[in-house]
Amino acid sequence: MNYRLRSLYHLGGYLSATCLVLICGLITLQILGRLGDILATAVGAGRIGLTIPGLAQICGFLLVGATFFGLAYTFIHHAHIRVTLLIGQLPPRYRVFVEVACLSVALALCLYLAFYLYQLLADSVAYGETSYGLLSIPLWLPQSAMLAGVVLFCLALAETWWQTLAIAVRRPGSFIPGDTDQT
Amino acid sequence: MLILTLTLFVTLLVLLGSGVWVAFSLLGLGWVALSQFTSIPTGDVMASDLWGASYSWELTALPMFIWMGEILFRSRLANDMFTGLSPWMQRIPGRLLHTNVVGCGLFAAVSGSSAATCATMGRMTLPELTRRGYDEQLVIGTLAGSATLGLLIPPSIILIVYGVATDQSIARLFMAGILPGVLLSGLFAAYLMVWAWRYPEKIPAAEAALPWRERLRHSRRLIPLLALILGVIGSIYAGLASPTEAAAVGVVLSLLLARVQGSMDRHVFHDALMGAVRTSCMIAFILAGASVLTAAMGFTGLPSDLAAWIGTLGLSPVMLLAALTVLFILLGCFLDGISVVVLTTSILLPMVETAGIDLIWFGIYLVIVVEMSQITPPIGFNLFVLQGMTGRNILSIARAALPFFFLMMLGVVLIGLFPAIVTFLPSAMGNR
Repeated sequence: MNYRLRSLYHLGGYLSATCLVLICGLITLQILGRLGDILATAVGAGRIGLTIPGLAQICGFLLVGATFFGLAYTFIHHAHIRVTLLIGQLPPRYRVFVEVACLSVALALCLYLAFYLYQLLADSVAYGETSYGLLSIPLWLPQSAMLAGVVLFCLALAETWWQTLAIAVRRPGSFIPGDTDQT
Repeated sequence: MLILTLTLFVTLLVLLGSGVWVAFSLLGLGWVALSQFTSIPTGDVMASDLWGASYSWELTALPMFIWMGEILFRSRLANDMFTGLSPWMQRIPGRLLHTNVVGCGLFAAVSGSSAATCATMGRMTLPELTRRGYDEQLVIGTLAGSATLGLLIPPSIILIVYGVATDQSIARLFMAGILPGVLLSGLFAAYLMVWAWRYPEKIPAAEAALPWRERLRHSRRLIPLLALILGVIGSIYAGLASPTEAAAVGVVLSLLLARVQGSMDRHVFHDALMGAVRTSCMIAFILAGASVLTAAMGFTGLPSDLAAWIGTLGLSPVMLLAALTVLFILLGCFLDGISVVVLTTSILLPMVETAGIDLIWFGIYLVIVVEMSQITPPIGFNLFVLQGMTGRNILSIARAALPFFFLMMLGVVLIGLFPAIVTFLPSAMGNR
């Protein structure tokens, strides 16, 4: 597939990777701080007390970014798993129609989710909801990341749907399934 | 209830069978259940559930362990392991075939996936062992079987998935997996010894034994791996770190290890990180879909009805487990392990709880059965990996792995007879 918005999906992938690096970095800092405290008390000095307040929450929200920003990127690399056991047996000119059907189901669900995630986000903004715990992080922040990721996924699905449909209508015999492996 | 069950079952079959992505199949099934069989505002429930399932401290361990595996897969660890282990295996009946079992067992202790374990060890042992004249069929079978330990021995991606989906402590699940993992490795090794004793002509002669000093010098290369295992699993067991913290430290240590070995540069770092993004997005999205499905199922009341129905049959836990084992093996022929686990937790869990089965024990049992499905055709990830590496027909690889399928079955029976194999370590951890 030739994706027009390929660089946008890749941007999503890199944002997702950034979230993973941040999670790893923050947790490591926290642990180094803890080790530093142990060492400092051992040599008789006071605790340095380097702790990151609300670390678990921050990481949880970064995880939302890591998961959702990367959805479209994962999709265009055929890494979302599916059962191709049956449809893999079909000749291309029939397979292409099944492919359109699958993409239609996925796109419909994705758009549906995007719509209701927008509602959820609008509610969080309207009521000014924040997370519990030490840090009151406004929920709209991670929730908009989630919505952005799902919208990006919708775009990738729509682009694939449109191109596959075009092949199905014009010359179904020339369809080449993207993921020929069995995953 | 009959109409509900039938509709949902057929919907699931059609969605999965026609090739709709697993996560969307789960979401679609959840939508059908909620919108057709309850009067609950479907979209709102789905959105808030998707949100609720996506941020969690426990789940954060998942991408970290995946990332760690991706780094180690690209390092020279397997190479070091083979060099370090092989001098010690020359005198045991079965000789270097044991490097597959022990190597996979050790690599499983730093990797959470069986396909990664299979690919990493296989890249090293397949060419080395066949070059030395070991029976290729047996080398492939041993590798396919032992690599499944990647799922059972902590860290384990699939145990994180199970723990998050059932709200069980991941640290305890990890500890519960250790002894069964050792048990299975023992069974595999014993099988190899018996085989070598029965067919001595098929095992090449031992190479000249190295003096002890040489052996120890070779084994020095195992130290980084052992340190990594001790650092990650040891800190969880000792209660120094939660699984998520241990995973992040594991990533940093693996990066350092690969850096010291000289197998890390910008490209490798990039590839490992982006590989981790793809795998963890895929799994986390399936988990989010599964949590929507679980909530939907809860609203329809199907799982509890199913549990009550099974209750009226008066099955003993043993008979229930036997029936479930058959079901899971069948499912595992067509679905991957994670899908089997999330479908089980969203539909069958109340049934298991009603039967009075311990959920930690059930998690380990489920993982071993899923392991078995990794080496059964037509869908078995280890088979695909080995097919890619050897170019052999998938059925011939499956036949090579068949003895190990039965050994795992024996393992399931053993943990059924002696549940303490599973429950001893987690209960020894105390109430953390």
